Amino acid sequence: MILRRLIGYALFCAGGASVAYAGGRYAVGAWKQQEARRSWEESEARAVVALARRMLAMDKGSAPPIAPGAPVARLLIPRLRLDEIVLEGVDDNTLNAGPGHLPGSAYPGERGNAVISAHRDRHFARLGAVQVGDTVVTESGANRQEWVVISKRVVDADAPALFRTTEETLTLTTCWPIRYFGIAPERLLLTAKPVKGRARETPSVAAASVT
Amino acid sequence: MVRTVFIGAALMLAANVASAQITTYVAPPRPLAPSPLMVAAADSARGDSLAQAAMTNMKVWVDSAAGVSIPSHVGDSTVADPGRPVVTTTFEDGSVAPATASALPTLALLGAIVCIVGAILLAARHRVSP
Repeated sequence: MILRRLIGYALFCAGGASVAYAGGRYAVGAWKQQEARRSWEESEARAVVALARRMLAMDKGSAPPIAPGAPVARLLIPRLRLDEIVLEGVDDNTLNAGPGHLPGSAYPGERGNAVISAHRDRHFARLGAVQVGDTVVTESGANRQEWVVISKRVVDADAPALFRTTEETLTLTTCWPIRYFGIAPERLLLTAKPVKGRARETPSVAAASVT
Repeated sequence: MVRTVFIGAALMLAANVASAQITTYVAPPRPLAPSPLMVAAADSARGDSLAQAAMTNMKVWVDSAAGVSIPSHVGDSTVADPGRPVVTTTFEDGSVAPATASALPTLALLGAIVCIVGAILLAARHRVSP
């Protein structure tokens, strides 16, 4: 009887601790995403200036690194009503707070492959519903870019999947299958190309570039 | 019984100590008187080795001499270890997708199941106890 009671208490406490930990991580992630959104909206002008300066520096071949966890872009998929603030980095804490921009890849709006990743159980939970031909929008402070999804593929988790491109490319990745018990063994990759003539520079960028 | 175990342990310890102390002495061969030809060959070999070490990367040279395989390129971002999965932290051509796999949903589900089982056990105890 005592053994049964002890086992009951132990299971209840262990299970409760696991649920509390997972719930806490989700709560912290949601709170950080809200913080990132507020920061993005409040400091958009500064972000614009920072990005403009970065792009100017890139022309000189010396791009300063962006701090891990800093908001770098806004990602929208209108059909899914997805609206997320993209943070710099793909470490655990960053991906817990929001989609992460893979350091070293291009930023949306720059020439090259811009890679954005997120967890399947959080910010990219509906990414599986994206279809070829869907529109994706990125706002990186410097510009607003519309993209069209041109491919959707699933690869093994350890398969080479990301490659340099000479043209502007947007790659969104998450784990696959979306509904999976355990560590998902595959990755979903969406590739998008910019819609020609839809890029729009914000007026403040022009001002920032001049100053 | 305790005495037998004690004697056994003492014997094992003694055997270990004894094996460390009793060693065989092997006398080194008596060195031969160096001939001028051998001295010249040794100097030449030493000079060649020094020249090679000076010309190339020392670490690479030592590793290659020790038979350690050296990767042609070690990136900062992709850590390749046979025992561990590859983790991408920065973009490189041909890198794998970032590790977005998370154990949190599984942890939450398992935790909930375990918690419910524990609650059932406790509730059953309360039902039985009156």
